Amino acid sequence: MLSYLASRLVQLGFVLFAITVLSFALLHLAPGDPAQILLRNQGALLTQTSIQQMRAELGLDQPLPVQYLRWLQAALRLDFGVSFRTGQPVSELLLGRLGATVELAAVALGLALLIAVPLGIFAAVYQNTLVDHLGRLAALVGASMPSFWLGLLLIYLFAVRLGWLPVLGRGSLAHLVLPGLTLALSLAPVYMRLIRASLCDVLREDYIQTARAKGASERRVILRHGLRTALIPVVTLFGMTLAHLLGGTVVVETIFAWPGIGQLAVEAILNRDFPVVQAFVLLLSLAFALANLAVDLSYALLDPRIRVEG
Amino acid sequence: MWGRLVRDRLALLGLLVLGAIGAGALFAPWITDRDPLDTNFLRRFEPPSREHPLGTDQLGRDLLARLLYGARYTLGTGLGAMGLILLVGTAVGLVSGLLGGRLDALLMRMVDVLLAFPSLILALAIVGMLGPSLTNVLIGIAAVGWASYARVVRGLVLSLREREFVEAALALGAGRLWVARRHVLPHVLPTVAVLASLDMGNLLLAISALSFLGVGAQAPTPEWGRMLNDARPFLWQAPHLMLFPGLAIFLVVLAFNFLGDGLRDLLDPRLRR
Repeated sequence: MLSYLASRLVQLGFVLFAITVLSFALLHLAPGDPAQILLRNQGALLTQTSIQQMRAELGLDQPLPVQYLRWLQAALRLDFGVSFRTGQPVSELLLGRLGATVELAAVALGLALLIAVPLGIFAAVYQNTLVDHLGRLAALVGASMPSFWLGLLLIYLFAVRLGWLPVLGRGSLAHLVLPGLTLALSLAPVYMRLIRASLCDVLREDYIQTARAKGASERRVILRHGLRTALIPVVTLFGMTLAHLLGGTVVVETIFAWPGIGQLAVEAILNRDFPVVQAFVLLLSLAFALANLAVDLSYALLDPRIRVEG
Repeated sequence: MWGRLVRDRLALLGLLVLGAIGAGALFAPWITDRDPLDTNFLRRFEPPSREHPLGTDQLGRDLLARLLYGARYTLGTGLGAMGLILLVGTAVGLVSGLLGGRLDALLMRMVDVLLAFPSLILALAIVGMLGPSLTNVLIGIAAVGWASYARVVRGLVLSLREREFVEAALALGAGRLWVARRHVLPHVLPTVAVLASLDMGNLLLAISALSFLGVGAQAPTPEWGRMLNDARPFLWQAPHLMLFPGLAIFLVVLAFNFLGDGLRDLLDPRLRR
């Protein structure tokens, strides 16, 4: 276990290094000279000397490795420079929006599990019956639904036609319903299929037979004996679907004008505000890498049968 | 192989839908005589009618023509990206698995890094950096997508290398390149094909999502995701503008998912329970 932890941490270190290098490169490969963009935004005169001065101020005249180290030092202090567009510190912009995204993602994840767990259990218990086949069909349909189209359809139905729910922005609980549901419905099919497959495997195990032979009720066999083991792979799935969830928040936030970091990032990309884009990519990739590490470790802890080799 | 595929009705349905949509894209000029870019300000936001089977958009353009021609952009980008992904992914996987050593280690670390990023976010950032266009979406998606294929192919190659027919060929003095092409590749391709068909739906969703976000196809290109984005301000007055392009994306993705699901059962009957 310890050697596994060690090798996993070494791997994480490498991945973190690569993520920072790639994020750093993102800004530097981007077209346009940051010094000139900043000067223009400040309304300053663009002269040879003023550009030179700005470049020196930003450290752009240094060799690339030096620039990288300086950038990394600043990034560790959560200093990602200032937005090309507004001149505000990037970290301020991101942190101000982070709460909204976390709220949306958490609600969507909860809703997705609320939908997927009962359906997955149902499909596994009645496997290879009509119920199961319909469930498989529903999962395929759900997985094929573009979330941005689903969002528009939900807006049209519940906000335009029925007028039940507010459409755009954030505020009351009602504002959360449509974005949360849109994101949840795009996640639920993945979870449902995995819970079904996992529970199907478990229900074939000997100890399930044993439990039945002891006279445990079918309900108890499935929920107490089966589901507990079956949910272990679902933990891994959380790591896998996190990418899906993060990508989904970007799309859903844009549709519903949800003031989260995804919407901020899309605006930044369309306006070529690269410092914001860079910090966004760095932040999400870090979250993704750390979550996957946590999932791997918890996986090893949750299931004592798994012998991890370093 | 085809017999069983045909028996899987959903896979067959998927194949038929894809065939129909593919034909629609190819033969668009023969199906409709309208130009997808022809504007008519006197006939904006018309609901479906005899003249315009799917109605007209905010500039009076025929929606059916835009969808048919748009299939070329959406599907073309998807197929192009998948082709690039398969080419690079398979090549890297073969080289990595067959040669091993430092090159293998280096390539696999690159794969690790790419897989450590949330894919749509990285693709979005790459496209944002290159500048919004459909070509750049193709590049961004392919740049992120090849990694998982390289890993799968490498795994397959490693297990094939232990097999007797490969060892025999190598023992007979066959060159590595020849073994790769004659003995390894034919065993790798079916798996890769199934993966690709399973993945194609997601790829198309990613492409149209990027266009929907505004970094992909630009107006007036009738790409489906772009059309959905353009329809957003008119949700109240002309819901058919967002209904049909969304339906088109949904159907194509669903068809690929049906097909991929059926192909997977074919390749690995043990999964069929």
